[in-house]
Amino acid sequence: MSASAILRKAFPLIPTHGFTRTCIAEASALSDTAITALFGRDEEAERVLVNTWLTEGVQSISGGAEPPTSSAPPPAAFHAQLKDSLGRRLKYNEPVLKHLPDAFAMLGTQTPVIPYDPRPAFEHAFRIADEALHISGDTSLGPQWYARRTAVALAYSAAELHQIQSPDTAAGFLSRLLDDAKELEVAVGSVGEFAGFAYDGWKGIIKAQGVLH
Amino acid sequence: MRTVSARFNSTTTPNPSNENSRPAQTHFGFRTVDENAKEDLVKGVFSSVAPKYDLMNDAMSMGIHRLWKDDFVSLLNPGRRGPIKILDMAGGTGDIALRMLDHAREKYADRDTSVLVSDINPDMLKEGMRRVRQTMYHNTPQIGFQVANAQELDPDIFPDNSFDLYTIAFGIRNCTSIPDVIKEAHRVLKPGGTFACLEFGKVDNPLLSQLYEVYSFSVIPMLGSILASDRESYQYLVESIRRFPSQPVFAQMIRDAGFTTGQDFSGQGGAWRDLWGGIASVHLGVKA
Repeated sequence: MSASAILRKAFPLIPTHGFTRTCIAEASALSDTAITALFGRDEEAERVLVNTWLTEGVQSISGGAEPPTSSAPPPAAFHAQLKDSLGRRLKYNEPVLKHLPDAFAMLGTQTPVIPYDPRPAFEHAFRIADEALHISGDTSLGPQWYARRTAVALAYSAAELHQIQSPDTAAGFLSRLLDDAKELEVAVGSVGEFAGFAYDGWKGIIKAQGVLH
Repeated sequence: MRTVSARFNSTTTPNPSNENSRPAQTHFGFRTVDENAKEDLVKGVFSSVAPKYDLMNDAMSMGIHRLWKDDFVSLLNPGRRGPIKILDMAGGTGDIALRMLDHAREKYADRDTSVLVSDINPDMLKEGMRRVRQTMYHNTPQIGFQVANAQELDPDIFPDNSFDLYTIAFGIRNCTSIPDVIKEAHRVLKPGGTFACLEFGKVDNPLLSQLYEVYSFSVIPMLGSILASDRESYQYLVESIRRFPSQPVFAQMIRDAGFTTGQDFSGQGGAWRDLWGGIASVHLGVKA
Protein backbone atom coordinates (compact mmCIF):
# COMPACT_ATOMS: atom_id res chain seq x y z
CA MET A 1 0.00 0.00 0.00
CA SER A 2 1.44 3.40 -0.91
CA ALA A 3 1.85 6.26 1.55
CA SER A 4 -0.89 8.28 -0.16
CA ALA A 5 -3.27 5.29 -0.01
CA ILE A 6 -2.66 5.10 3.74
CA LEU A 7 -3.60 8.75 4.09
CA ARG A 8 -6.77 8.36 2.01
CA LYS A 9 -7.82 5.53 4.29
CA ALA A 10 -7.81 8.10 7.11
CA PHE A 11 -10.28 10.49 5.39
CA PRO A 12 -13.48 8.86 6.72
CA LEU A 13 -12.16 9.27 10.28
CA ILE A 14 -11.32 12.97 9.99
CA PRO A 15 -14.82 14.13 11.05
CA THR A 16 -14.44 12.27 14.36
CA HIS A 17 -10.68 12.42 14.97
CA GLY A 18 -9.64 15.62 13.22
CA PHE A 19 -6.46 16.02 11.20
CA THR A 20 -4.36 14.16 13.74
CA ARG A 21 -1.78 11.42 13.97
CA THR A 22 -4.38 9.40 15.88
CA CYS A 23 -6.64 9.58 12.82
CA ILE A 24 -3.93 8.04 10.64
CA ALA A 25 -3.06 5.46 13.29
CA GLU A 26 -6.68 4.34 13.78
CA ALA A 27 -7.35 4.10 10.05
CA SER A 28 -4.36 1.97 9.15
CA ALA A 29 -3.25 0.37 12.43
CA LEU A 30 0.20 1.96 12.20
CA SER A 31 2.42 2.61 15.19
CA ASP A 32 3.59 6.10 16.05
CA THR A 33 7.08 5.18 14.81
CA ALA A 34 5.64 4.04 11.48
CA ILE A 35 3.70 7.30 11.07
CA THR A 36 6.88 9.27 11.79
CA ALA A 37 8.75 7.10 9.29
CA LEU A 38 6.28 7.78 6.49
CA PHE A 39 4.99 11.27 7.17
CA GLY A 40 7.31 13.00 9.65
CA ARG A 41 7.43 13.85 13.32
CA ASP A 42 4.70 15.48 15.41
CA GLU A 43 2.68 18.06 13.44
CA GLU A 44 4.45 17.36 10.17
CA ALA A 45 2.41 14.16 9.70
CA GLU A 46 -0.76 16.14 10.41
CA ARG A 47 0.22 18.76 7.80
CA VAL A 48 0.77 15.99 5.25
CA LEU A 49 -2.73 14.68 6.02
CA VAL A 50 -4.24 18.16 5.60
CA ASN A 51 -2.42 18.74 2.30
CA THR A 52 -3.47 15.35 0.94
CA TRP A 53 -7.10 16.02 1.92
CA LEU A 54 -6.95 19.46 0.25
CA THR A 55 -5.51 17.91 -2.93
CA GLU A 56 -8.36 15.41 -2.98
CA GLY A 57 -10.71 18.37 -2.53
CA VAL A 58 -9.42 20.01 -5.70
CA GLN A 59 -10.19 16.80 -7.59
CA SER A 60 -13.72 16.78 -6.21
CA ILE A 61 -14.47 20.12 -7.88
CA SER A 62 -15.03 18.63 -11.32
CA GLY A 63 -17.70 16.19 -10.12
CA GLY A 64 -16.74 14.03 -13.08
CA ALA A 65 -17.39 16.83 -15.60
CA GLU A 66 -14.89 17.55 -18.36
CA PRO A 67 -14.06 21.11 -19.46
CA PRO A 68 -15.89 22.17 -22.67
CA THR A 69 -13.92 21.15 -25.76
CA SER A 70 -15.18 23.90 -28.03
CA SER A 71 -14.37 27.58 -27.66
CA ALA A 72 -15.49 29.75 -24.73
CA PRO A 73 -18.93 28.76 -23.44
CA PRO A 74 -21.71 31.37 -23.27
CA PRO A 75 -21.35 33.64 -20.19
CA ALA A 76 -24.46 32.27 -18.47
CA ALA A 77 -23.32 28.65 -18.82
CA PHE A 78 -19.80 29.60 -17.73
CA HIS A 79 -21.08 31.38 -14.64
CA ALA A 80 -23.46 28.54 -13.75
CA GLN A 81 -20.70 25.91 -14.07
CA LEU A 82 -18.34 28.05 -11.96
CA LYS A 83 -20.92 28.40 -9.18
CA ASP A 84 -21.65 24.69 -9.37
CA SER A 85 -17.94 23.72 -9.14
CA LEU A 86 -17.20 25.98 -6.20
CA GLY A 87 -20.43 24.92 -4.50
CA ARG A 88 -19.27 21.31 -4.78
CA ARG A 89 -15.99 22.24 -3.18
CA LEU A 90 -17.75 23.95 -0.28
CA LYS A 91 -19.84 20.81 0.18
CA TYR A 92 -16.62 18.77 0.43
CA ASN A 93 -15.78 20.82 3.56
CA GLU A 94 -19.04 20.04 5.35
CA PRO A 95 -18.13 16.81 7.21
CA VAL A 96 -14.94 18.34 8.66
CA LEU A 97 -15.95 21.98 9.19
CA LYS A 98 -15.17 22.06 12.89
CA HIS A 99 -11.58 20.89 12.24
CA LEU A 100 -10.82 23.32 9.41
CA PRO A 101 -9.67 26.29 11.54
CA ASP A 102 -7.05 24.08 13.23
CA ALA A 103 -6.03 22.65 9.87
CA PHE A 104 -5.47 26.07 8.29
CA ALA A 105 -3.68 27.32 11.40
CA MET A 106 -1.33 24.34 11.18
CA LEU A 107 -0.53 25.09 7.55
CA GLY A 108 0.16 28.74 8.32
CA THR A 109 2.57 28.04 11.17
CA GLN A 110 5.04 25.70 9.56
CA THR A 111 7.88 28.24 9.37
CA PRO A 112 9.21 29.06 12.84
CA VAL A 113 10.46 32.52 11.79
CA ILE A 114 7.14 33.98 10.64
CA PRO A 115 4.29 33.92 13.22
CA TYR A 116 1.72 33.29 10.48
CA ASP A 117 2.50 32.53 6.85
CA PRO A 118 -0.48 33.42 4.60
CA ARG A 119 0.99 31.70 1.52
CA PRO A 120 -0.49 28.21 2.11
CA ALA A 121 -3.99 29.71 2.51
CA PHE A 122 -3.62 31.70 -0.71
CA GLU A 123 -2.18 28.75 -2.62
CA HIS A 124 -5.12 26.63 -1.45
CA ALA A 125 -7.70 29.17 -2.68
CA PHE A 126 -5.81 29.81 -5.93
CA ARG A 127 -5.65 26.09 -6.75
CA ILE A 128 -9.39 25.77 -6.25
CA ALA A 129 -10.08 28.86 -8.35
CA ASP A 130 -7.81 27.58 -11.13
CA GLU A 131 -9.48 24.16 -11.24
CA ALA A 132 -13.01 25.59 -11.10
CA LEU A 133 -12.30 28.05 -13.92
CA HIS A 134 -10.67 25.32 -16.00
CA ILE A 135 -13.71 23.05 -15.63
CA SER A 136 -16.00 25.97 -16.50
CA GLY A 137 -14.15 26.49 -19.79
CA ASP A 138 -12.23 29.65 -19.00
CA THR A 139 -10.18 30.81 -22.01
CA SER A 140 -8.56 33.92 -20.54
CA LEU A 141 -4.89 34.61 -21.27
CA GLY A 142 -2.11 36.84 -19.97
CA PRO A 143 -2.95 39.33 -17.19
CA GLN A 144 -6.65 38.47 -17.39
CA TRP A 145 -5.82 34.84 -16.45
CA TYR A 146 -4.25 36.04 -13.19
CA ALA A 147 -6.90 38.71 -12.54
CA ARG A 148 -9.77 36.24 -12.96
CA ARG A 149 -8.19 33.61 -10.76
CA THR A 150 -7.31 36.13 -8.07
CA ALA A 151 -10.87 37.42 -8.03
CA VAL A 152 -12.38 33.94 -7.79
CA ALA A 153 -9.82 32.86 -5.16
CA LEU A 154 -10.70 35.84 -2.99
CA ALA A 155 -14.42 35.13 -3.39
CA TYR A 156 -13.94 31.48 -2.51
CA SER A 157 -11.75 32.30 0.54
CA ALA A 158 -14.41 34.64 1.87
CA ALA A 159 -17.13 32.04 1.29
CA GLU A 160 -15.09 29.37 3.05
CA LEU A 161 -14.54 31.58 6.08
CA HIS A 162 -18.25 32.38 6.09
CA GLN A 163 -19.02 28.66 5.91
CA ILE A 164 -17.05 27.95 9.11
CA GLN A 165 -19.22 30.48 10.97
CA SER A 166 -22.55 29.90 9.20
CA PRO A 167 -22.63 26.69 7.13
CA ASP A 168 -26.30 27.03 6.07
CA THR A 169 -25.90 30.39 4.31
CA ALA A 170 -22.53 29.68 2.68
CA ALA A 171 -23.91 28.71 -0.76
CA GLY A 172 -25.95 31.90 -1.08
CA PHE A 173 -23.03 34.01 0.15
CA LEU A 174 -20.76 32.42 -2.49
CA SER A 175 -23.28 33.09 -5.23
CA ARG A 176 -23.49 36.79 -4.35
CA LEU A 177 -19.69 37.05 -4.17
CA LEU A 178 -19.25 35.45 -7.58
CA ASP A 179 -21.69 37.95 -9.04
CA ASP A 180 -19.51 40.72 -7.59
CA ALA A 181 -16.30 38.96 -8.62
CA LYS A 182 -16.68 40.21 -12.17
CA GLU A 183 -16.21 43.78 -10.93
CA LEU A 184 -13.34 42.67 -8.72
CA GLU A 185 -11.67 41.04 -11.72
CA VAL A 186 -11.90 44.32 -13.59
CA ALA A 187 -10.45 46.17 -10.57
CA VAL A 188 -7.57 43.72 -10.22
CA GLY A 189 -6.91 43.92 -13.94
CA SER A 190 -6.96 47.72 -13.79
CA VAL A 191 -4.54 47.73 -10.88
CA GLY A 192 -2.23 45.52 -12.92
CA GLU A 193 -2.51 47.80 -15.94
CA PHE A 194 -1.87 50.90 -13.81
CA ALA A 195 1.15 49.21 -12.20
CA GLY A 196 2.48 48.52 -15.71
CA PHE A 197 2.09 52.19 -16.71
CA ALA A 198 3.84 53.34 -13.50
CA TYR A 199 6.74 50.93 -14.09
CA ASP A 200 7.26 52.12 -17.66
CA GLY A 201 7.16 55.71 -16.49
CA TRP A 202 9.79 55.26 -13.82
CA LYS A 203 11.99 53.26 -16.18
CA GLY A 204 11.89 56.18 -18.60
CA ILE A 205 12.79 58.67 -15.86
CA ILE A 206 15.73 56.57 -14.62
CA LYS A 207 17.01 56.11 -18.19
CA ALA A 208 16.84 59.85 -18.77
CA GLN A 209 19.07 60.35 -15.67
CA GLY A 210 21.74 58.26 -17.37
CA VAL A 211 21.62 55.49 -14.78
CA LEU A 212 20.33 52.87 -17.26
CA HIS A 213 21.57 52.59 -20.82
CA MET B 1 19.46 -0.77 -12.16
CA ARG B 2 21.15 -3.64 -13.95
CA THR B 3 24.51 -2.25 -12.90
CA VAL B 4 23.33 -1.97 -9.28
CA SER B 5 22.01 -5.52 -9.15
CA ALA B 6 25.18 -6.80 -10.79
CA ARG B 7 27.19 -4.97 -8.16
CA PHE B 8 25.21 -6.05 -5.16
CA ASN B 9 24.12 -9.55 -6.03
CA SER B 10 26.32 -11.37 -8.45
CA THR B 11 28.56 -10.27 -11.23
CA THR B 12 28.13 -13.59 -12.99
CA THR B 13 25.32 -16.13 -13.05
CA PRO B 14 26.59 -19.74 -12.76
CA ASN B 15 25.74 -21.90 -15.75
CA PRO B 16 24.05 -25.01 -14.30
CA SER B 17 25.04 -27.15 -17.25
CA ASN B 18 28.74 -26.49 -16.72
CA GLU B 19 30.09 -28.25 -13.63
CA ASN B 20 33.26 -26.17 -13.60
CA SER B 21 31.42 -22.83 -13.65
CA ARG B 22 32.91 -19.97 -11.65
CA PRO B 23 31.06 -19.27 -8.39
CA ALA B 24 29.06 -16.04 -8.12
CA GLN B 25 31.15 -13.06 -7.15
CA THR B 26 30.57 -9.98 -5.05
CA HIS B 27 32.53 -7.06 -3.69
CA PHE B 28 34.57 -6.93 -0.51
CA GLY B 29 35.42 -3.26 -0.35
CA PHE B 30 37.02 -2.58 -3.72
CA ARG B 31 38.10 -6.20 -4.15
CA THR B 32 36.01 -8.79 -5.97
CA VAL B 33 35.66 -12.05 -4.09
CA ASP B 34 33.59 -15.22 -4.26
CA GLU B 35 30.16 -14.67 -2.73
CA ASN B 36 30.53 -17.54 -0.29
CA ALA B 37 33.86 -16.13 0.90
CA LYS B 38 32.57 -12.67 1.74
CA GLU B 39 30.84 -13.68 4.95
CA ASP B 40 34.03 -15.13 6.43
CA LEU B 41 36.08 -12.16 5.30
CA VAL B 42 33.65 -9.74 6.95
CA LYS B 43 33.60 -11.90 10.09
CA GLY B 44 37.38 -11.68 10.11
CA VAL B 45 37.30 -7.89 9.87
CA PHE B 46 34.88 -7.52 12.75
CA SER B 47 36.56 -10.09 14.97
CA SER B 48 39.71 -8.07 14.45
CA VAL B 49 38.13 -4.67 15.20
CA ALA B 50 35.74 -5.78 17.98
CA PRO B 51 37.94 -5.05 21.00
CA LYS B 52 38.56 -1.45 19.92
CA TYR B 53 35.39 -0.87 17.89
CA ASP B 54 34.08 2.04 19.97
CA LEU B 55 37.49 3.72 20.18
CA MET B 56 37.90 3.50 16.44
CA ASN B 57 34.40 4.79 15.75
CA ASP B 58 35.16 7.79 17.94
CA ALA B 59 38.49 8.40 16.26
CA MET B 60 37.18 7.95 12.71
CA SER B 61 34.12 10.13 13.08
CA MET B 62 35.48 12.46 15.78
CA GLY B 63 32.68 11.31 18.04
CA ILE B 64 30.01 12.25 15.51
CA HIS B 65 28.70 8.68 15.22
CA ARG B 66 27.27 9.16 18.72
CA LEU B 67 25.23 12.14 17.51
CA TRP B 68 23.99 10.14 14.53
CA LYS B 69 22.93 7.27 16.74
CA ASP B 70 21.22 9.70 19.14
CA ASP B 71 19.33 11.25 16.20
CA PHE B 72 18.39 7.77 14.95
CA VAL B 73 16.92 6.70 18.27
CA SER B 74 15.23 10.06 18.83
CA LEU B 75 13.54 9.80 15.43
CA LEU B 76 12.25 6.30 16.16
CA ASN B 77 11.10 7.45 19.62
CA PRO B 78 10.53 4.01 21.21
CA GLY B 79 8.06 3.86 24.07
CA ARG B 80 5.90 6.79 23.04
CA ARG B 81 2.81 4.65 22.59
CA GLY B 82 3.64 1.82 24.94
CA PRO B 83 6.27 -0.95 25.04
CA ILE B 84 7.51 -2.44 21.77
CA LYS B 85 9.60 -5.39 20.68
CA ILE B 86 12.73 -4.40 18.80
CA LEU B 87 15.14 -6.49 16.75
CA ASP B 88 18.49 -4.76 16.47
CA MET B 89 20.37 -6.53 13.70
CA ALA B 90 24.15 -6.28 13.37
CA GLY B 91 23.88 -4.66 16.75
CA GLY B 92 26.92 -6.39 18.21
CA THR B 93 28.23 -3.90 20.74
CA GLY B 94 24.76 -2.84 21.90
CA ASP B 95 25.13 0.82 21.02
CA ILE B 96 21.66 1.18 19.53
CA ALA B 97 19.96 -1.29 21.89
CA LEU B 98 21.08 0.54 25.03
CA ARG B 99 20.10 3.90 23.56
CA MET B 100 16.62 2.54 22.73
CA LEU B 101 16.10 1.22 26.24
CA ASP B 102 17.42 4.39 27.88
CA HIS B 103 15.19 6.56 25.66
CA ALA B 104 12.04 4.54 26.47
CA ARG B 105 12.88 4.57 30.19
CA GLU B 106 13.88 8.21 30.55
CA LYS B 107 11.23 9.77 28.34
CA TYR B 108 8.25 7.51 28.96
CA ALA B 109 9.09 5.52 32.13
CA ASP B 110 8.84 2.46 29.93
CA ARG B 111 10.52 -0.61 31.44
CA ASP B 112 8.79 -3.13 29.16
CA THR B 113 10.24 -2.32 25.75
CA SER B 114 12.65 -5.10 24.82
CA VAL B 115 15.50 -5.44 22.36
CA LEU B 116 16.93 -8.61 20.85
CA VAL B 117 20.48 -7.80 19.74
CA SER B 118 21.58 -9.99 16.90
CA ASP B 119 24.89 -10.26 15.06
CA ILE B 120 26.64 -12.79 12.86
CA ASN B 121 29.85 -12.21 14.78
CA PRO B 122 30.07 -13.75 18.27
CA ASP B 123 33.02 -11.52 19.21
CA MET B 124 30.97 -8.37 18.61
CA LEU B 125 28.12 -9.83 20.68
CA LYS B 126 30.53 -10.61 23.51
CA GLU B 127 31.52 -6.93 23.53
CA GLY B 128 27.85 -6.03 23.71
CA MET B 129 27.21 -8.43 26.60
CA ARG B 130 30.17 -6.98 28.47
CA ARG B 131 28.75 -3.47 28.11
CA VAL B 132 25.27 -4.52 29.19
CA ARG B 133 26.71 -6.08 32.34
CA GLN B 134 27.63 -2.53 33.39
CA THR B 135 24.01 -1.34 33.10
CA MET B 136 20.70 -1.91 34.89
CA TYR B 137 19.44 -4.04 31.97
CA HIS B 138 21.76 -6.95 32.77
CA ASN B 139 19.77 -10.10 33.63
CA THR B 140 16.44 -8.50 32.73
CA PRO B 141 14.05 -9.59 29.99
CA GLN B 142 14.55 -6.21 28.32
CA ILE B 143 17.67 -7.26 26.43
CA GLY B 144 18.81 -10.46 24.81
CA PHE B 145 21.62 -11.55 22.48
CA GLN B 146 21.47 -13.99 19.58
CA VAL B 147 24.00 -14.98 16.94
CA ALA B 148 22.24 -14.94 13.58
CA ASN B 149 22.76 -14.32 9.88
CA ALA B 150 20.63 -11.34 8.84
CA GLN B 151 20.08 -12.86 5.39
CA GLU B 152 18.67 -16.08 6.76
CA LEU B 153 17.04 -15.77 10.17
CA ASP B 154 15.98 -18.99 11.87
CA PRO B 155 12.15 -18.93 11.86
CA ASP B 156 12.07 -20.75 15.21
CA ILE B 157 13.99 -17.94 16.89
CA PHE B 158 12.70 -15.14 14.61
CA PRO B 159 9.10 -16.08 13.73
CA ASP B 160 7.03 -14.24 11.13
CA ASN B 161 5.29 -11.03 12.22
CA SER B 162 6.96 -10.92 15.62
CA PHE B 163 8.72 -7.55 15.96
CA ASP B 164 7.44 -3.97 16.07
CA LEU B 165 10.72 -2.37 15.02
CA TYR B 166 13.73 -3.66 13.11
CA THR B 167 16.88 -1.59 13.31
CA ILE B 168 20.23 -2.05 11.60
CA ALA B 169 22.90 0.58 12.11
CA PHE B 170 26.10 0.64 10.03
CA GLY B 171 25.74 -3.09 9.40
CA ILE B 172 23.80 -3.70 6.21
CA ARG B 173 26.61 -2.69 3.88
CA ASN B 174 28.64 -5.62 5.20
CA CYS B 175 26.04 -8.19 4.19
CA THR B 176 26.54 -10.25 1.05
CA SER B 177 22.98 -9.82 -0.20
CA ILE B 178 21.24 -6.65 0.90
CA PRO B 179 17.89 -7.61 -0.70
CA ASP B 180 17.84 -10.85 1.35
CA VAL B 181 18.41 -8.88 4.55
CA ILE B 182 15.56 -6.50 3.80
CA LYS B 183 13.30 -9.42 2.80
CA GLU B 184 13.95 -11.12 6.12
CA ALA B 185 13.28 -7.85 7.93
CA HIS B 186 9.91 -7.69 6.16
CA ARG B 187 9.12 -11.24 7.20
CA VAL B 188 9.82 -10.81 10.91
CA LEU B 189 8.13 -7.43 11.28
CA LYS B 190 4.50 -7.26 12.32
CA PRO B 191 2.07 -5.54 9.93
CA GLY B 192 2.46 -1.83 10.69
CA GLY B 193 6.02 -2.41 11.91
CA THR B 194 8.95 -0.20 10.94
CA PHE B 195 12.25 -0.98 9.25
CA ALA B 196 14.95 1.55 10.14
CA CYS B 197 18.45 1.55 8.73
CA LEU B 198 21.22 3.96 9.69
CA GLU B 199 24.01 3.75 7.14
CA PHE B 200 26.65 5.75 5.39
CA GLY B 201 25.34 7.50 2.29
CA LYS B 202 26.45 9.45 -0.74
CA VAL B 203 27.34 13.11 -0.28
CA ASP B 204 25.87 15.45 -2.90
CA ASN B 205 27.80 18.59 -2.11
CA PRO B 206 30.96 18.45 -4.29
CA LEU B 207 33.22 20.32 -1.82
CA LEU B 208 32.13 18.24 1.16
CA SER B 209 32.43 15.14 -0.97
CA GLN B 210 36.08 15.93 -1.83
CA LEU B 211 37.00 16.60 1.79
CA TYR B 212 35.23 13.45 2.88
CA GLU B 213 37.07 11.41 0.23
CA VAL B 214 40.48 12.66 1.34
CA TYR B 215 39.66 12.11 5.01
CA SER B 216 38.24 8.61 4.44
CA PHE B 217 41.05 7.20 2.36
CA SER B 218 43.99 8.89 4.05
CA VAL B 219 43.20 9.47 7.70
CA ILE B 220 40.99 6.53 8.64
CA PRO B 221 43.22 3.63 7.53
CA MET B 222 46.17 5.42 9.14
CA LEU B 223 44.23 5.64 12.41
CA GLY B 224 43.47 1.95 11.99
CA SER B 225 47.15 1.11 11.90
CA ILE B 226 48.07 3.45 14.77
CA LEU B 227 45.23 2.70 17.19
CA ALA B 228 44.39 -0.88 16.28
CA SER B 229 47.46 -2.15 14.39
CA ASP B 230 45.08 -3.16 11.61
CA ARG B 231 45.21 -0.92 8.58
CA GLU B 232 43.61 -3.47 6.24
CA SER B 233 40.41 -3.89 8.22
CA TYR B 234 39.86 -0.14 8.33
CA GLN B 235 40.71 0.16 4.67
CA TYR B 236 37.91 -2.35 4.04
CA LEU B 237 35.48 -0.35 6.17
CA VAL B 238 36.11 2.79 4.13
CA GLU B 239 35.86 0.95 0.81
CA SER B 240 32.62 -0.73 1.84
CA ILE B 241 31.11 2.70 2.43
CA ARG B 242 31.93 3.70 -1.13
CA ARG B 243 30.35 0.54 -2.56
CA PHE B 244 27.03 1.01 -0.78
CA PRO B 245 24.12 2.16 -3.01
CA SER B 246 23.04 5.79 -3.10
CA GLN B 247 20.07 6.90 -1.06
CA PRO B 248 17.43 6.72 -3.85
CA VAL B 249 18.68 3.30 -4.99
CA PHE B 250 18.59 1.89 -1.47
CA ALA B 251 15.11 3.38 -0.93
CA GLN B 252 13.92 1.49 -4.01
CA MET B 253 15.46 -1.73 -2.67
CA ILE B 254 13.43 -1.23 0.51
CA ARG B 255 10.26 -0.77 -1.55
CA ASP B 256 11.09 -3.83 -3.66
CA ALA B 257 11.02 -5.92 -0.48
CA GLY B 258 7.42 -4.84 0.10
CA PHE B 259 7.84 -1.89 2.44
CA THR B 260 6.03 1.41 2.04
CA THR B 261 8.31 4.42 2.19
CA GLY B 262 8.02 8.17 1.82
CA GLN B 263 8.87 9.79 -1.47
CA ASP B 264 12.38 9.95 -2.88
CA PHE B 265 13.75 12.93 -1.02
CA SER B 266 15.56 13.59 2.24
CA GLY B 267 13.58 15.02 5.11
CA GLN B 268 10.26 14.74 6.90
CA GLY B 269 7.97 12.58 4.81
CA GLY B 270 10.84 11.43 2.61
CA ALA B 271 12.17 7.90 2.19
CA TRP B 272 15.34 8.88 4.04
CA ARG B 273 16.82 11.62 6.19
CA ASP B 274 20.36 12.76 5.45
CA LEU B 275 22.65 13.49 8.35
CA TRP B 276 25.62 15.83 7.90
CA GLY B 277 25.01 16.40 4.21
CA GLY B 278 24.47 12.71 3.43
CA ILE B 279 27.58 11.30 5.11
CA ALA B 280 25.07 9.15 6.99
CA SER B 281 21.39 8.57 6.24
CA VAL B 282 18.43 7.12 8.09
CA HIS B 283 16.24 5.00 5.80
CA LEU B 284 12.72 4.15 6.96
CA GLY B 285 10.10 1.76 5.65
CA VAL B 286 6.80 0.50 7.00
CA LYS B 287 5.23 -2.94 6.53
CA ALA B 288 1.80 -1.59 5.64
